[in-house]
Amino acid sequence: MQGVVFVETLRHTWRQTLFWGIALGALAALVVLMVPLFDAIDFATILERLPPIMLQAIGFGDDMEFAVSPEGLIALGFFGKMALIFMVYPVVMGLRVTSNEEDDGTLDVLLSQPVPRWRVVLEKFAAYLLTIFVLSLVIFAGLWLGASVVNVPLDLGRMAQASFNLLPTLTFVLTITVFMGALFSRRQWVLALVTGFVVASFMLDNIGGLAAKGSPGETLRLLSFFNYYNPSGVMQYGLVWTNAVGMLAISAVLLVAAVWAFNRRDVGV
Amino acid sequence: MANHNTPVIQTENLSKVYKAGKRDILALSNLTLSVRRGEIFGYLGPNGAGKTTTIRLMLDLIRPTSGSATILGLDARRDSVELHRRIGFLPGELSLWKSLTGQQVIEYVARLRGGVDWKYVQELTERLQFDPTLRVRSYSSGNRRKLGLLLALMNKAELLVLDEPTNGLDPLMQQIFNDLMREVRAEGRTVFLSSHILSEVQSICDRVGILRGGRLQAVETVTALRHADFRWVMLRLREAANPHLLAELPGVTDLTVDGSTLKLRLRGDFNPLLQALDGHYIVDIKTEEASLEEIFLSYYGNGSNAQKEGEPVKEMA
Repeated sequence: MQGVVFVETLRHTWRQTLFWGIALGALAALVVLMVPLFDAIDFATILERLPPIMLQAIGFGDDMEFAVSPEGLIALGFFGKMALIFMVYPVVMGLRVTSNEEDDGTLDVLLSQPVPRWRVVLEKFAAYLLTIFVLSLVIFAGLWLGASVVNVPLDLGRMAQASFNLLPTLTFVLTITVFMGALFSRRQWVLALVTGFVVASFMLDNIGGLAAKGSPGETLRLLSFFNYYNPSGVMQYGLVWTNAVGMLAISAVLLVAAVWAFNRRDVGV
Repeated sequence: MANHNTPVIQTENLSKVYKAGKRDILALSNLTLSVRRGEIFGYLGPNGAGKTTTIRLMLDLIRPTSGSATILGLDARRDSVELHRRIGFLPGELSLWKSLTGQQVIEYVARLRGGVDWKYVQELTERLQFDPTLRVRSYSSGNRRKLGLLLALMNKAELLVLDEPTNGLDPLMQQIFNDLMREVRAEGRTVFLSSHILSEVQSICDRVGILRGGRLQAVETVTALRHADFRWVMLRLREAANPHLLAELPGVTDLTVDGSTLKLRLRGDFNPLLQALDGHYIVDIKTEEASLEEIFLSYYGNGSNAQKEGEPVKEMA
C-alpha cells in the first residue's frame, strides 16, 4: 500500500521532531535575544584587539563590519558554531530508515509485508526529509520571534535563506546515513562511519579556514561538505544556488545508490 | 494462482553460505524440498541446523548463494512482493515496534497488507486471549508471540510460514495454536512450520523434513517416521538366553539383559529375532514405538541415517 510507511514514519517521529524544533527554535531565538548584549559590551572593539589568526580561528573573516552586525553574529553564533548540533538530527533520523529497524529486528516484519524494499527506503526518507523541512521552518520562526522581542533590525529575507540553507546540508547528511545503513547491517558501524565523516568534514572545514590562500589546507577544505554550507556567505550575499543544487544532486545520487545497495543485500545478517 | 497440483513450496538445490571474515559458513546446502498444498509440514532440526536460513531465503530476506525457491508458483526472489501478500509469516525471533500498542501494530500491518477481515482479527484476538491495548514493550514473550501469530494469521494467507511458532506459549495456548493450524489445513491452506520440539510436530504435522548441519536428512510422514525406523522390544523368556545370540543379529542394538528379560532396539522385521530364539520359551513380548525424539536422536546420534554427500534425500511419504 502506497504511503503507509511514510505516514507511519511521521507518526513515529512527530514527537521527537517537535522536541528538536522547540529546542533549536528556542536556541535561535536566544541567539537573537543576545545580539543587543554584544552591542552593550562593545564587541567590535574587543574583536579588533584580537590577532587576525585568532579571528580566523573563531570564524570571523576579513569583513569585520559584517562580523559584528546582527546578521553576522547570528550567522556565526547560531548557524556556524551550532552546525554540528544540527547534524545530529539527520544522523539520528537516517539511522531510523534501515539501521535501527535492522538492528532491532523489526525490519524482518516490515520486509515480509507486501511492500518492496525500495519503497520502504524512499517513503521513510521522504518522511524524514519532511521533518527536516519543518525543522528549518521552526528555526526561522525562532529567529523571527527573537527579533520581534528585542526589536533587532534583521534582514528577514536573509534569515529565511540562512534557515533554508540548512536543508541541502541536512539532506546530504541524512542521505549519507541512509547510504551507510544500506551498505552495512550493523548500526554501530553506520553510526561510527557517519560520525567520523561529519566530524572529519567539520575539522577539515575549520582547519582549511585558517590555511593560507592557495595552500593544500585550503584545497582540502573543498572536500568538506561544510564548505558548501557556508552560513556567513549566505547571510552576506544570499543563497548560493550552485552549492545547494550540488548538495541535493549528490544526495539524490547517494539515495539511488542506497536503494540499489539495500535491494541487493541480505537483511539482518 | 498456482495449479492445485503444483507444490506450494519447491526448492531446488537451495544453498546459502555466509561470510564471516575470511571464513565461509555453510548454513544451507543444496536443499531440494517440496511442500504440498493443504498440508502442515514440519521442518525439524536443532538450533543452527539451517531452519531459519531456509525460511529467510523463502521470504527473500536473504539471497541464496545458489539454487532457487518457487513458492505458490512464483519465484521467491523476483516475485517477493506478491508472495508476501500471500504468505503469513512469523519470525523465530520476533521483534516488534516497542513504542506501539498491540492494536497499533495490527493496524500498521493491516494497512501494509490491505484487505484484512476485522471480524476475523477480533475472533483471533479472543481465541488467543490477547489484550491489544498494551504497548509492545510491556508484553511478555508469550504475548508477543500471540501478537506475532495474529499478524501471521489475520490475512488468511494461502501459506503460513512459522518459525518456532510455539516458543513461549503455555500448554493451553499451544493447544489453541494446534486447533488453529488444523483449521488452516481444513481450509486447504498450507503451513510450513519449523521447530525443534518434536512433540509439537508430532501432534499437528502431516510430514516432516529433518535438517542437520544445513542438509536435509529425510522427509517423512509423521506416521511413517514412527514406524519406519525402529521399535523397542521387550522379551520375557522362561530361562535366561545367551545374549550373544541376539546381539549379533542385524537390526538389533541397545541390547540389555536382566535375568530372563531382554530389552532391545529392533530395526527391520521380527522374524530373524524369533528365529534366533528358536528353542527358547517366550513368555511375553512387548513392543513400544520409538518416540519421535528417539527417532530424531537416531538420525542425529550416530549419523547412520544421515544423507551422504551427493545422495538423494530419502522420501518415504
